[in-house]
Amino acid sequence: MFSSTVIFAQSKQVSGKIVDDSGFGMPGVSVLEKGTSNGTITGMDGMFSLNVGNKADLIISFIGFKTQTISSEGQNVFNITLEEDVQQLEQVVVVGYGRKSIKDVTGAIASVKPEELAKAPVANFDQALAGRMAGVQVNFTDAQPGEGMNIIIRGGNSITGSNKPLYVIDGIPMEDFDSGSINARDIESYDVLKDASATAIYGSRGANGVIIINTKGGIVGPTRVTVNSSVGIQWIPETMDVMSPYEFVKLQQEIAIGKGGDEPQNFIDTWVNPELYRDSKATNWQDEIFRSAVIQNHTVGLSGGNEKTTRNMSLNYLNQEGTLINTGFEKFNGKIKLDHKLSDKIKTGVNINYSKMEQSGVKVASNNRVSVIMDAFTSRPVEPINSDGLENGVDPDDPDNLRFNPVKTLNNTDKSKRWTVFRANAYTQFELMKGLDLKLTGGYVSDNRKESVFYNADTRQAYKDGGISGSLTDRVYTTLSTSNTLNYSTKIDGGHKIGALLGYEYSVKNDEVFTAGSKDMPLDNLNVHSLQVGATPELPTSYKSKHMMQSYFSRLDYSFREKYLLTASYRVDGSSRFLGDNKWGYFPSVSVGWRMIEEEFISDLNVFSNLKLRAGWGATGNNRVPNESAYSLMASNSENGYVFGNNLSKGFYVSKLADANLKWETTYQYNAGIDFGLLDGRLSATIDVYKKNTKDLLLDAAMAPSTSFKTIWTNVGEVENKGIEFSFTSRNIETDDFTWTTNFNISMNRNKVIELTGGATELKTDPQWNSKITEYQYISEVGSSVGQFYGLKSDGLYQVEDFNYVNGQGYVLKEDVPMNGSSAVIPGSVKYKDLNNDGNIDEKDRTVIGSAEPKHFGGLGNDFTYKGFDLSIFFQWSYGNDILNVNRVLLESPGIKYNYNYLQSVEDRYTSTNPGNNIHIIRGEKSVLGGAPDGNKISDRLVEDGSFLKLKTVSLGYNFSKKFLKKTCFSKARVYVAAQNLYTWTNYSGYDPEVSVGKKGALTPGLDYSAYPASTTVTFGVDLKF
Amino acid sequence: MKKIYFLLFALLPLGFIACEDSLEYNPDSSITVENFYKTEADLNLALTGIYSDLGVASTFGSTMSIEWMAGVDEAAMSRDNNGFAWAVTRNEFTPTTVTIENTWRTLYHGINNANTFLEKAPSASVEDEALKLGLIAEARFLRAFYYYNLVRAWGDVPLRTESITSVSGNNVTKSSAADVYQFIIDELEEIAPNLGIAGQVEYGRASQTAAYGLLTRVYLNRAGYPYQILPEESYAKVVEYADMVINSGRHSLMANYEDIFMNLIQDINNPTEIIFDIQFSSMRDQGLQEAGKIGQLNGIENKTKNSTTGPYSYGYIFAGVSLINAYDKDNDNRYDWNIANWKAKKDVPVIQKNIYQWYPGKYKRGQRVLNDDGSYSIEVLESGDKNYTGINFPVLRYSDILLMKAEALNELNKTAEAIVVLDQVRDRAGLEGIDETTVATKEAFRNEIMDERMRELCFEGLRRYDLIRWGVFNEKLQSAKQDMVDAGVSGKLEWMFIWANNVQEKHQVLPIPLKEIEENNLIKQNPLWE
Repeated sequence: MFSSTVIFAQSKQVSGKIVDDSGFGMPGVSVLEKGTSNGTITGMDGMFSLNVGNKADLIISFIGFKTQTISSEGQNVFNITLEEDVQQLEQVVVVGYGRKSIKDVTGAIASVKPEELAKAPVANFDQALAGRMAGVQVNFTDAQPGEGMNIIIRGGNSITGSNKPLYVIDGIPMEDFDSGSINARDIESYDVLKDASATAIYGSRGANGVIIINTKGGIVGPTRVTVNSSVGIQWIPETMDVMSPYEFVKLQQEIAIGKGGDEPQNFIDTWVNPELYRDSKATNWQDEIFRSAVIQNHTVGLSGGNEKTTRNMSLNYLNQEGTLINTGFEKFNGKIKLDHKLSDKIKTGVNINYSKMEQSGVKVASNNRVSVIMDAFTSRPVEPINSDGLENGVDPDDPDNLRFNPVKTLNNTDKSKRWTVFRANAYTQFELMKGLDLKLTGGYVSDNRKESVFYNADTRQAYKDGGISGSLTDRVYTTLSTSNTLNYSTKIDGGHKIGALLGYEYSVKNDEVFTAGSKDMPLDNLNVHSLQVGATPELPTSYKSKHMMQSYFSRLDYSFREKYLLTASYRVDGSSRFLGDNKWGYFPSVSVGWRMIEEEFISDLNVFSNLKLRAGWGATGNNRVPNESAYSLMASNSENGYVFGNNLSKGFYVSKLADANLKWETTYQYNAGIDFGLLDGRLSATIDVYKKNTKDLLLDAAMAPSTSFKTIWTNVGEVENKGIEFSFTSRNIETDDFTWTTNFNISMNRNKVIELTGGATELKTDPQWNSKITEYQYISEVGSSVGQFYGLKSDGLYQVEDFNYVNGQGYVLKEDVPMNGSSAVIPGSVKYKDLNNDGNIDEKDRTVIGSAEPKHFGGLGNDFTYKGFDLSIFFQWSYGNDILNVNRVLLESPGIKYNYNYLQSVEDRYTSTNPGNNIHIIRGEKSVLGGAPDGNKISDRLVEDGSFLKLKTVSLGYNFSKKFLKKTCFSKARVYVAAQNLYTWTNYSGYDPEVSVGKKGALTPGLDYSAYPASTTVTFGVDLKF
Repeated sequence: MKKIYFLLFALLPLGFIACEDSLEYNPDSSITVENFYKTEADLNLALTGIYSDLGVASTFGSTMSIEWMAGVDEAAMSRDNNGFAWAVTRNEFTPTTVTIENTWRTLYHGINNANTFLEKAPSASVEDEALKLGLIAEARFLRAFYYYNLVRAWGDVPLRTESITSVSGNNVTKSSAADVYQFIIDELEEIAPNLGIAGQVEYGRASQTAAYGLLTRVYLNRAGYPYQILPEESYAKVVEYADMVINSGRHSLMANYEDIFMNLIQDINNPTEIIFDIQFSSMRDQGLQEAGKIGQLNGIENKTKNSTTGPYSYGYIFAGVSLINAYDKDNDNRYDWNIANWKAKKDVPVIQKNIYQWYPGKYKRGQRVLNDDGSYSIEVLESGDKNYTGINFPVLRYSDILLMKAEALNELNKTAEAIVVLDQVRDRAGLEGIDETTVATKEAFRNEIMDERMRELCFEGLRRYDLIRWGVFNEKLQSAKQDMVDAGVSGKLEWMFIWANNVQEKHQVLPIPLKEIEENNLIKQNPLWE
């Protein structure tokens, strides 16, 4: 501490209070008499007093705030307000195991301002990330409340299915972090490490990029309370058109006539006459299952502390009703962060986060043949005049009819996933000597999940699958980890700056799963917590597994005169997921930077305010395989056994085949970038180009059925991603009253398969959206991008001209016209192009029919402030990507089942009086059906342009003036209205072009089947600070 | 003192580094293959694992026993939709048909588990060497049986005799059907003496006579169309092995035809006529999936609402008009059992007026009985789960052995001897000995055998393959269609014989599943399916 013992001859005492922009006294602010070492720091209340020369200038400074110089001439008492120095704050980014001045960064790192994320009216912060960062693609899989977003950094390198980045939360790396388990308001910094020179320090888990989130700590000063509260409403922006009652009844009539026998009479007995339904009011099943839903979000935060101890606490409650009835998401979040100085040399702290979440309701995209959304499309829109005894047209005794009244399904299925995530870590940091710090961190994460489903009497399951039933699954994941680093930094005369890091980590993650269930429950008002009353138990199942990792890592940073920068890192990881020597992976990286702005020949140009070139290379890994992937196993299940006589014997079988040579997937990445600022920093931009090659791809590869195994984890080949990212920020207008800032980013990524194992040239994939449609619908070919759509080329419908009419035989296909793969076709049948000209349509006629890879994607944000008002408008887009809309396989292919409704387009189907070329005939002569045969259902008809531009987030706020607030107890108050997904410009015919529900991840992108549609949200809220 | 606490707290994170610094992992919930097959208990568990594949949905649970057996002269379909499971019935299948891939995979599943067993078992420590030899013989029997099911449906198939141990195991060429048949024959002939004796071994296990019976069947198949491998020699072997069964003293015809099936339905273990069958048991109330769909999918339609105990049946199959016509309805006591001219509506039997809408009665879950008051009701024979039954499915029956012997004798120009054997079967059915003038020629006797096998063995999973090996598949489908047309199936009801409209030569052999072609670099599609 300073002491002012020297008293000048001509001196006076000055005093005053230093406050922040909300009027709070700021402790610890340095007050220095200019040109001397005479000074002091403010006390807890922000007060100071100091003896200075009569005409002395005072320099007031505090980290993160703009330094002020004030003349004391003629003034002895000061009230000084310090302004936050936003630019200076931006100068620091979080890198692996530390922070770095942005000047010294040589890798590609993107940051998002946490305030931006907090502005969007969303449940979890990741839903606000889309379009915010160049090179970071954030997509819905679908919009089920509580589901995490799909985040892909610089294109999917991995074809394992998981391209999820590694999350590092307050220093603890986590492979499966749940975005719901953190409150967006608690985030202090959000940084994304994109290139290998930045991520290699995370070694075997860094290949998909690393997202580092640090949460807010306490700030020295009196306790401040913040309250954020918002309430809003959500709805789905549009529904899709299905056939009207009249059109539907006509369809029933057509089917009845086609079936013959008693059927036409049955039709008349029940429906009487289609004409009677012309003015019938349709039951719009989509309106029945969707609703306007409320979302509310409330946070209370406390922050404060003294020089020794700081603390930050917050509580958050969120409740999001789903737009689909009886679905929703609710969470509580509590957090405490304490930091304490044991002495000048020892700091310690704990950080505890507790989240309790519940996702309730039917998951619509997970199951493949049974779907409430599909049921809503296909349920009949009108009841017959004379009842046919069927409720909504569903015959519960028809084993092929898996439908059920979707409203009942939703209302009578109690499905929930409740989970609590407890995350705690403690650290102690010792300053062993000047510049040398030892930091020991221990972390514990416990993630307990209870998944339950209970089918009440009025559900399809209760009707068909053994009565009222329920099951309960307990999952417990615990991770114990330690991370320890030794950090050294020093400056050597002559402008050398050296930093060095050595580290050791060990973690062990235990997974335990237990499931029990029972069927034939006698009562409807029971629930999943009384499984013992069921007459038919299901065998309980239990499972446990473990993953251990051990790592050593190091990094060296060197800079010379802040001009030439070098960073090199090396990490060694060991994992229990692999065997023998394959356990260990080695991950080096090196990168350099040249801050040209420091060179005279650049600064003399007076053009740039910043200019830096960066280049780097590194290797990172991916080990996202199940824990037992390398082990061949024996197992038994409820099916496995045999009854000799009347005695059951259990049986064991080889349940899993392993590739004993399984090893890491490794990504080698080059990155080069330029950062520049123009117009005195008003315009700043970053351009990065990269190329990354991922080798030894981990794939759960399909096995030939004659091996008896379905898949095996193995290393299969190489994928390349290269791309360019551009982002800029422009502070267009900056006056006292009005500011306008523009943020823009655009990214292009090209993905290519370089090699597949064993000389294979292609890998075909079935996305498994329907267990009965097992066509290959995706292909990954050497030389093209991973996961292109693969199917037949549509050729419209067969027309009469394609046939010869032969007496006694009817229509006979002409010699030169190909068969569509069925046994028989008629005019109006689905027709395909015979690419190999063999006269028949089969697998050999399949070809690439589209790609989900966008040509470019990005975001554009404009932020305005005018006096107390602030306005943000944010757009997100994706251009050039296709969507495979397989909903239409079911909804545009009319069959001969009664009581199925279809999309409105089916009204224009082929009939003898309407020989069109779009929707096939239902049935023609000789009972031949017009639909595509099994195995030949996927064609380019289903491929649609998925480009879109979304008005993603709009928020308009008003900050009450300080003058006004002085009369209140608030130091800050903002009211706002915010909207999410306000409007989408797209040609896509489905609910929402932001969709990808394929079960095989990167191999099956851009698939739309029964996805939960994204909703539009508008919320009103207040932000208050006391 | 306080400082020491601080330090301890600070060093806590380091604590467990020392405790657990290993990366060695033994899977917690499973046993690795290396650690299995060590003891007698292990071998028993693994052997049962091989049996287990007999009784799953894609083998005899429903696909092979029911769905693939309709669409011929003995059985038509009752539904007008192209339900996926029935693509084979309708002759609408392709290399992508799911059931074909599933069955193919499951049969090879049994084979791979047998191969693994056979590689590991010799080094397991089992004290009783004879017992071990017996276990090995059973595994080889099952492997041969799985191959038999593959070769008769697909023809040329990969012959895998070693377990899969790595991803390179994907690639294997097809072996000719002749080689596969030879493999089956060699295996069965070698291991048969090591198997136990029927009646002494646990019911359901492979016995010596099961091996001889299967050899009889295999030789008969091999001699038939399209392979016609060493026909003369093969027919002689059919007779030889049939006689091994007949002379074993272990099996004979049961007095009442229906008792055979009542035993199957009610899980009564009687090896008199059953030489080998697939064991099912209704244990779903215990959470165990050992039940099949026999009698549910191919039973008499009975869709009594809200019933979870049965006797429930979707009645997916109609008895073929040709089959019905083939019976001497007044005298043949098999007719009454095998054909049901009624279905259940709300637990009451209702007579079906159209002959083409009668059901197979062989695996009935409920019997139509006359009440004292003159009304009819349904007596429950089997009441398992609504959708699953414990009804066993016969694979080898004594009367089948007799008919195979008779057929082979006829082919060997010993028609007179054949007639004697045939008459044993007729006699049990309550029929007179055959009028010899009607079967005087080899040709005529063969035609008689064709009908007799249908009358005796309908719905037992044999008809499709019998028609194929006789080379009359298309012919019989067309005549079956004609019989249906004659019975009044016409016009809009044409879908009832869509299988006859669709049938082409290629439908006599199943295509190699597309996934196999994609993942196995050495295999080629069956020529008919290219």
